[in-house]
Amino acid sequence: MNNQKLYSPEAVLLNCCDDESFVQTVVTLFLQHMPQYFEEIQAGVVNANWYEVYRNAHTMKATIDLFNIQPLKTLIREIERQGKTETPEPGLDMQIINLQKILNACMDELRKDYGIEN
Amino acid sequence: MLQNLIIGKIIPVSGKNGFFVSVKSINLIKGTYAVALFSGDTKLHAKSNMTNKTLSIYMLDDDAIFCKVLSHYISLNPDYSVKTFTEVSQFTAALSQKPDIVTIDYMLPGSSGGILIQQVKDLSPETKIIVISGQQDIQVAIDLFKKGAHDYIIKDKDTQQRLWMSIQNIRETISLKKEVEHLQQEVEKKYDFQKAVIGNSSVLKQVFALMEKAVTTSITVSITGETGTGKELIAKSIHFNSGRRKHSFVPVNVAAIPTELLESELFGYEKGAFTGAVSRRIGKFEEAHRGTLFLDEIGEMDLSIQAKLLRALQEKEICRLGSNDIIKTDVRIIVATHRNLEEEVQKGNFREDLYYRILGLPLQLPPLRMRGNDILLIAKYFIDLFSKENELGKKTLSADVKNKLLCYAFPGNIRELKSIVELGCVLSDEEEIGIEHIRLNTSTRSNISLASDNISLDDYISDLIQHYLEKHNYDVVHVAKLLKVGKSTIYKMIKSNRLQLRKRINKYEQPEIV
Repeated sequence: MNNQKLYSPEAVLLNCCDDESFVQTVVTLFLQHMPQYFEEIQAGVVNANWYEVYRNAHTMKATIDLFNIQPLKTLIREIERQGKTETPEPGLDMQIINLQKILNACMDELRKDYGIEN
Repeated sequence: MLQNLIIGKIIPVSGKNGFFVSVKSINLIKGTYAVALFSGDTKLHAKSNMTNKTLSIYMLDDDAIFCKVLSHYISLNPDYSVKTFTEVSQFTAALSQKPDIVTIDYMLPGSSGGILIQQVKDLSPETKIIVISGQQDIQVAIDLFKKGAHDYIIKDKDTQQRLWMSIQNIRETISLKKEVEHLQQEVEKKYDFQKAVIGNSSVLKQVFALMEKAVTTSITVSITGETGTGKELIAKSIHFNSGRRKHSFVPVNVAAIPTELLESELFGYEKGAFTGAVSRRIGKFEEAHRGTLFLDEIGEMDLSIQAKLLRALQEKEICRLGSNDIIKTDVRIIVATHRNLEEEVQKGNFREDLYYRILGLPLQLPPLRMRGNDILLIAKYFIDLFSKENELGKKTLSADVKNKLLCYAFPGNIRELKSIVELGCVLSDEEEIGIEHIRLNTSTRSNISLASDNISLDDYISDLIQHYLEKHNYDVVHVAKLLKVGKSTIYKMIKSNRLQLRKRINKYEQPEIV
């Protein structure tokens, strides 16, 4: 069943030292901060502020790894690379849309799994 | 691969490496923790009982989630006090609290790891810095190490474990550093004037007064005194009470090193400088950099080395043998000799310019026979020490022994007193060390004692001349001059066996046996 999830509850639990109450704290932080990081990437792309794209993608990358969100692992690195090299590729807009879509789906899962209201 | 921890209920769960260790409940005891190592096995390595002091750790990362997870993990050790910061300004303001360790994210808005390292170094130089970064560029890591980072950890799934181990290593380093500081303080206490040098005679107080002057500056000190008067002990006391105490005290016994080796010993050598120089070796001057170099028995130094020593002292620089590179040194020099260097200069055995260079603050150590009741204080110290070391129980000196020791001349000074009382401790089966347990060196006739009851004027004169002869290397002409008697008088006394003339210990003259 877990394989169907976008994130890995086991990875989250392990990274939180099997402390379930702390998992709740970390999930809450995820829900608070990840939309903000995404918005800054989105704004960076619109304004061609590639440093901000790079910095926020770089920050999101660590959390994505922490939650082991497989569908976003390669995607966020691609966006980070384009931001770092300041060379946006034609597919970047689609990548941003995908990032938003998967991130939102993942957040819905987390809200549901940990009983956190929107 | 390292995985955590801890004391509590350890449950095995399956994993890609075959066997993982997880922790269900955590119950850490202060100061004690365990680290479970696994890489397909279940070895448990306990590491415990370090210092109980809480280690303060500040973590700076603008990624609130990552920072929270890391701090939670590190906080599992109750000996760690962790504070997290997401703003650079708050972090730098808090540096005045001088945390033991800081972890900083390499990439921060408005700042970077490199800039922050410098800020930490400026505001809290003792703080250890760990950089945590998503940058896998080796050059970035090298640059940060050059700037003073203690460790560089890549952000990935193993970051927590790596950080845990890094902090643990720093903690061990801090513990060792504190232990070294503690031991240094112990050494300083050991060489405290009053504790290191036993006695309260007026002659010794004069020495203390001069030592007080010596410790406040880096002036060269020249210590003279008979053998066994404690010249090295005084030199150590000066060093460990001076501003150089944190650095090395390097003793060199010039008389014990062959002339041909002394130069390389003092100045070091490069690989291939001479046959057998298989690798570079630093000399005593470099070893004593910012500390003290104690040149014992400097009067025995060969003239050829004296010239090189003079240059090293004047220019404060040396060259290793086999090299033209000049090395600057900052060394405090203390020299000691049992010889009268002024006389050695007159004889041409010691360079005059070096003599004036090393004279500095002269400290004349009194012979034990001139220290009155100090003899008994020192005897008691050695008796107590020897009895304790050998579990002999309490030992005391009888009144007769005390009187005998006070009357004895101690040509070997404190070293001789130590041997006498230690032998007394061994020979005595009772608590009291009696006269029969004391063996004084009667073979030497330099024992000039005014307090002896049965001494004739003739004997006294013989003893006096004998003492001077021994003290001045059996130089009859010199002793005759000093005592203002004819040298023929001395030779006559030798002929009539009232005096003994033994070998002259002078490397420039043949031994003279009478």
